[in-house]
Order: sequence, then C-alpha cells, then structure tokens
Amino acid sequence: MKKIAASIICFALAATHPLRAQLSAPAAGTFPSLTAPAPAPAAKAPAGPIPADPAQAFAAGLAAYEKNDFDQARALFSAAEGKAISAPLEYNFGNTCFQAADYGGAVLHYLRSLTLDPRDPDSLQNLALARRSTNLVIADPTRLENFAGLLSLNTWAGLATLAGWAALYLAFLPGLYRWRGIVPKLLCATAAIIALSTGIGYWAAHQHVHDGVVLHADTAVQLSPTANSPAIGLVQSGEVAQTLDEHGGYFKVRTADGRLGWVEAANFSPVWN
Amino acid sequence: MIFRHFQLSFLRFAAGLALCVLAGATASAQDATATSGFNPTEVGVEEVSQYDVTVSESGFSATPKGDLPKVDGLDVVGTSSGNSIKIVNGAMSTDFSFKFSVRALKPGQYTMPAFTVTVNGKTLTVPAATLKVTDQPTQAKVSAGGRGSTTASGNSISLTAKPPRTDIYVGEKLPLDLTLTWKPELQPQLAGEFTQDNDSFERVELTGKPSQYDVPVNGQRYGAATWHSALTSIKSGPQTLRFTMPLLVSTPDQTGSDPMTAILMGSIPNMFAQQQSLSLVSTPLDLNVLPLPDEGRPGNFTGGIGSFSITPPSLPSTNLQVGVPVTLKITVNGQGNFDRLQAPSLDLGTLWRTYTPKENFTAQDAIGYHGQKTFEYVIMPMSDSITTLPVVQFNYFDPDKKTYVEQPTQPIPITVKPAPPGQAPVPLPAIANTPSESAKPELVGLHLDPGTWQTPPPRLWLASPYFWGAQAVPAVLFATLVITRRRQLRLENDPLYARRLRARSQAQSALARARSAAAQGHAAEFYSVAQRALQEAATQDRLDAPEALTWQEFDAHLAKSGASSDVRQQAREIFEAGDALRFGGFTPDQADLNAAATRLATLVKELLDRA
Repeated sequence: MKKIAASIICFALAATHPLRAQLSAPAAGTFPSLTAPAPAPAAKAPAGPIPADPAQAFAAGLAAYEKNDFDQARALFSAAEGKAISAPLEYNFGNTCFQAADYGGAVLHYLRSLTLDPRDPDSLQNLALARRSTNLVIADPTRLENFAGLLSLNTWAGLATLAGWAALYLAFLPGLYRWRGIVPKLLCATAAIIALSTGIGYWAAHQHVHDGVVLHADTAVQLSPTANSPAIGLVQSGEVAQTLDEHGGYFKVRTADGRLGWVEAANFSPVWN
Repeated sequence: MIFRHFQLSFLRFAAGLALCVLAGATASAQDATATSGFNPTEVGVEEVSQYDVTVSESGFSATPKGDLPKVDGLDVVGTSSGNSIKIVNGAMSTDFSFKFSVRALKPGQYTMPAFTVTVNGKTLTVPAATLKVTDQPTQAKVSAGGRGSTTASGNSISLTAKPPRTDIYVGEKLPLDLTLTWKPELQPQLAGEFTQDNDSFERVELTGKPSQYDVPVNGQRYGAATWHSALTSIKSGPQTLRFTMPLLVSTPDQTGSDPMTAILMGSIPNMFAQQQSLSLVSTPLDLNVLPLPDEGRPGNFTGGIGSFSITPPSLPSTNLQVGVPVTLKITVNGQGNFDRLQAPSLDLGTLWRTYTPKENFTAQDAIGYHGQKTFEYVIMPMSDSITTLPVVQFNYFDPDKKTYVEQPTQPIPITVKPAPPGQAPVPLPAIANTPSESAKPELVGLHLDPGTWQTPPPRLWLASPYFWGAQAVPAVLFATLVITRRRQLRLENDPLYARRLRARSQAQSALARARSAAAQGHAAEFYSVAQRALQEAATQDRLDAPEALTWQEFDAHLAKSGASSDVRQQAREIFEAGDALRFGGFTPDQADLNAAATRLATLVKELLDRA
C-alpha cells in the first residue's frame, strides 16, 4: 500500500513538472475544443484547389506566406483549420493576419495557439506585438494570470483531480493501515497543497474559457441583438471580451471595462467554442 | 364602440344644450351631413396624420354612434372629440367633430372606407378618405390640437435638435440641445422612451431636468423646454439623425367659433381638457461624420477629441529612491470626449518601472463634456542615474483646428538615491505598455513543423462524461481499500465477530457436505457432518470450540438462547439418530436421509438467522 501511495504522489509531482507540460503541450487532449472553423475574417477563397489534407494546406500556406501572398496564405490556413488544428497552424495563421494588418485576427489566432501550447514563447511575443499594434493599453497580467498560463486548462484539470485523489487517499489510508511516522503526513500535506494550487490554476485559467476577440476596429457594442439597436460604445480590434450568450448573429459580451452589450458575430470571434 | 368614450364631449354638448334652451332657439328641418378627411394627406412612415370626421345636424342632436372601420397597417394612436352648437338667424345646428391620430409603419396608400353613423335615428354615410404614406419623412411636424394657430413652421408642437456644428469626427463628443416647443394652450409631458433612428451614434440620453422658458413665435409666446445632451458618432460618412419623443399632450380643445361653449370653457377649462398621445419626430439632423485624419496622428494617440490642457506632473517629492514606488499625478482639464480619453503614455525607457494608471473623472456638467480627468501612475525608479522625471506625452485632436495637438510636459529635475545594500531591484528590459522603438520586438517567423494535428477538436475535460466516468476507478478503489481494511481490523480486534463469521462459514460448509453425503446415501458421514453443522450454527456467539460440546451442553445453550422446543426437538432427533447409527445399528434408508437433510437445512438456517 505504501508503494501505491508513493506511486500516486510521484505521478502527481511528475505531472506538475514544467518540462512535462512543455513536452506534452501540443499532444492530444491537453486543451478544450476550439471554435472549429474560424470565422476567417476577410479570408478569401484560395486561388486553386484546396488540399484535402490539413498538412498539405498547412504547407501550401507556408509557401504562400513566403511569397508574401498573405491573402492566399490566410485562405489556406483557414481551410486547414476547418479540418484540424494544431498550435503551429494557429501561430502561423496569426502571423499571416498580422502581416495583412488584421491585428484582431492575429490576436485571436495567437490566443488559440497559446490555448494549445500555453507557454510557446513565439506566440507570447507575437501576441504582445499584435496588441501593441492595435494601440490598445493592455494591463500587465497578474501573478495569478501568469500562473494560470503555465499549463493548459485540461492539464490543470487533470493535475487537480489527481492531486485531489492523492490527498484523499493519504488523508485516510495511513490511519487505517497504521503507517506511522511523519512521511505519510508530509505526503498528505504535499498532495493537498498541490491539489489546492492546481485547483486555483484551473479556476484562473477557466476565467478565460469564454473569452473572445474583437476582429474589427470601432465595433459597436449594441443594447440588443438587432440591427437597429442603439450602440452604447465601441470596442477596438484585438480587444478581448467575455462571451456570455449568442443570439441571431450576435454575441452578448462583457467588455474589459465592464460594459455589457451585443456585438455582431462578423466582428467578434470566441477563442473557445 | 369608439364613440362611446367621449363623455367629455357629451358634457359640453349638454351644457350647450342648456344654453340653447335658455336662448329659446328653434330647430329647423335641414338634413344631417357627414364629412371626413386626413390632415395632412401625405406623411412619412411612422409619422402621424389626423383623420377628422365631422357630423353636422340641424337643431338639437344626440351624440352620433358608429364604428370606425379597421384599416390594415394603419394604427390609431390617439383620439379626441368635440362639438359645437351654432345659432344663426335663430336656427340652431350641432357639429360633432371626432379626431383620430393615425400612423402607418409601412409606405403605401391607405383608404379609410366609407362607413355609417347613426344620429337621432338617422343613418349617415361618412365618405371614404385616402392617406398616402411615403418612405421618406415629410417633415418633423406633428399636429396637436389641429385647430387654431400653428408655429412659424406650421406646427403646434415641435422638436428640434441643435448641435454647435454639423461636422463631427468619429468618437467626438458634441453637445446637443434638444428643444421642445409648444403652443401655450398645450400641456405636453413625456410618455415613453426617447429614441433615435440611427445606430451610427451612441444613444442620446435626456439627462436631468430641462430648462423651461417662453419663446416668441409669430407674435405669440410659446412654451419651450431644452435638454442639454451630447452626441457621439461611431461611424463616418454623411448621416441623418432623427429623434422620436413620445408625448401625452393635454389640449383644451376649445370650440373657438362657439361663444357659448367658449364661455363655458373659459370658466372651467381644465375640466374639458383632452389628452392625445403623440410620437413627435424631430427635424432631421444632417451631420457630416469625418474620420480622424491619419496625417499627423501620434503613435501614442490618447483618443481625446476636443480642447484639453494638461497640468504639470506632480510628485509627492522630488527626492526618490531606487526601488521605492511613487505616484505621478497628472490632470487633464477641458472639454471633449473624456470617456474615450486614455492615459497619456510615459516616455520611460528602461530605467523606470510603471504600472497601469488609475483614472478618475470629475464632470463639470450633466453630460460629462466639461470636466477634469486625473491619471495616477505608480512609477518606480530603477537606477540612481535618473535625473529627470519622465515626460508625459499628452496629445489630442482639436476638431476646430482639425489637427492633432501635442502637449508633452517639461522634464522635471529629480534626485534618486541608490537603494540600500541588498535591496536593489533588477531593471526590466521593457515595459509592457510603454512603446519604445529601440526595444520594440519584431515578429517571430513561422513555425515550419505543423505539430500534432487534433481532429476533431478535443473537449474540455470537465465537460466530458468520460472524465467523470473515469473518476469511478479511484473512487471504487478507495472504497474497496477502506472496507477491506476495516473488516480486517475488526476481525483482528473483535473475536466474537470473527467467531460468528467463521461459524457461519463452517456451518454452511458442513451443511453442503451433509447434503452431499445424504444424496450419496452415506448415512454415517451425513449424521457426523450434520451434528457439526448444528454445533457451528448454534454456537456462533460462543468463543469455545463447538465440536467439544456434549449434547446436554448443546441443548442447554439452545434453551438459553431462546430456541423453540420444536427446534430443540429436531436438533435432538438428528443428534440421537447419529448416536443410534454409531452405537445401535440404526440403518436409515435413502428417504430418511433426504428428509433429515431437508430438516437439517431448515434448522441450520433458523439457527443462523436467530443469531
């Protein structure tokens, strides 16, 4: 039984190691679903046939990007995204949007890339650059947000669950099996701390599950989801807002400064689905 | 019955009748007539026209009765009525006037068909009338009262919106005066939500109480109320804006040509006031919304449009210390779109650390056009080589000069003491919200490896039933470990419990063996095992060995434990049959064995259950 408990703790500790997360980040099952086919703002139909294989569309998009044909690259990356997703695809898609001066789209795809690979330094740097290009004043992330960004949401969920079970086992089993000494108590406390901290990490990361990105400048935030509804203000390309509801081609959002209203779906895209 | 609502008219009619009788007027024998028509005959969509029905009857007349036909697409939004009694050369006649405010939501031609009314038992036909509704509003004109004088533009009541200029920039906040003007005999009051017809502007609110005053119109003093609001455009291009103000207008509805009624009205005017619901549409406001020019636009444009001034930055002290944060405060005064004015950027370089500034706005008017906005930056010097306070790069767009205005503050000399030993902070390479050309990163290139494709996109684990299903594994394992261990501990610590479990197990085992022996006709083995089964079952709450019990001890135990005499008798028979077999040559046949096996099973079960 001691071996079982030790194995659980070792696994939990190994799972929280940053290197493990870094290595396994793009692997399947490490993050929640994304919006399947991106709205592809201003993505034109690719000139020529669309490769059925997303890897081929990815390669064709790279080639178009290298030729500075950003419209074609966006169309190909969009086509690939409609079939499958990967962190490099979203990252390259973001670069293409950036080169096409579509900073809202760039922010969206960098955020998606970071959802798949939360600590990709290239995505982080280009995201900061895209946000700076929108002239938005973005508050520095809090310590909690930095902490939450260390791992993907599903990794947080898995670790918190594992550590929670470990803490439960170690809280009850040593007494029943008469494991004496300080070691079981230390293991139990360690598991409880890991469970608590990973739970906080999950909670903080979950705050951004409903985030979405404004795609176009001077997007009106309207009182109601109708074309004739008066606007209560404007949001700018690249701004992140929380998605609360969807109705008739409009998203109900809460903006970063707390305004509540509806934006047209053509001007806004959730990061998550 | 629409006409039945006009009790006030009937009161006036009764008063007129009384005066008429006093005057000793006589009736003539002329026929009754009915007329109808729209006023105006052409309106825009959602504008209000007035459908007038007049019924004239010679002599004394009762109130006409009839139903107004319903016309699809034409809504009746208000009603009023009146009557007058005329005596000309001793001949009396009565005119009834009914007014219906109607409004259409779609363009087209609407015809109010002919219909009949009944007056004094006679049936009159009201002729048909036609109203044309166009796409475009005709003019911001709604007639209230419909009789008597109008304003210079032909209105009894009107709404105008007046900005200081008609060229406006996207995002600019412009004062807007909304003025309601009405004839002095009208008493308008707001009766609903104030709306606008153009989404290219932020919603205009009627804030605060309006200023009320009188204005001369055609030599007559009209009442006026002005709301001071603000207009902000969010889309460039030529724009037309109209406002709609729902009103409830009280009108005295004086029958001016009738002196008798006028006398009566003059004595108690409020008693006969009529109320009419109106949706008053303002005069169209044509605006030219301009985008902010790209030329000369500062890279760190604050978004301010208006006329602003910035006060010199203030610090609690000019003697700073490395690593100790201080609050830098700047104040912007003036007029403009303070709600969009963002914090000016600081030219900090790498020797300072800063955080997101706090904002505080103090409005000096109801609409927040004039005011004062304060920004507080928490900054921290990172080097004792700093000699001046960072320059605040304030700028805004002046819509009057049509150019960007930059007002950088002057550097303020300061002294920075070094941090105490061991407390020097590490300078940051770059500040997140401070653009610095030298430190500006470049776009990192493409990722050539597509990575791991995921299709279909994976789900959030906590939303997956498989995730929650998988939690059953550790839960079941935990429960198994706990239950098993607790049972094990009880067996160790509770000998009676352990004995009971063992006795039950042994009794069941012996019973099975006895059944087998009986089936095979092995009488000796059957009775031997049967006795053992009974001993185990009956003594499961005793710690001493059951096989050592004599029959007397066994029976005494049964009696002590409350077993019935029948049970004891059956047990005795099995014990005695076994002894007879062993010592007396008893040879039971197969039927006896089967019957004994059945009795044994019942007996063992009863003994086990009793325990």
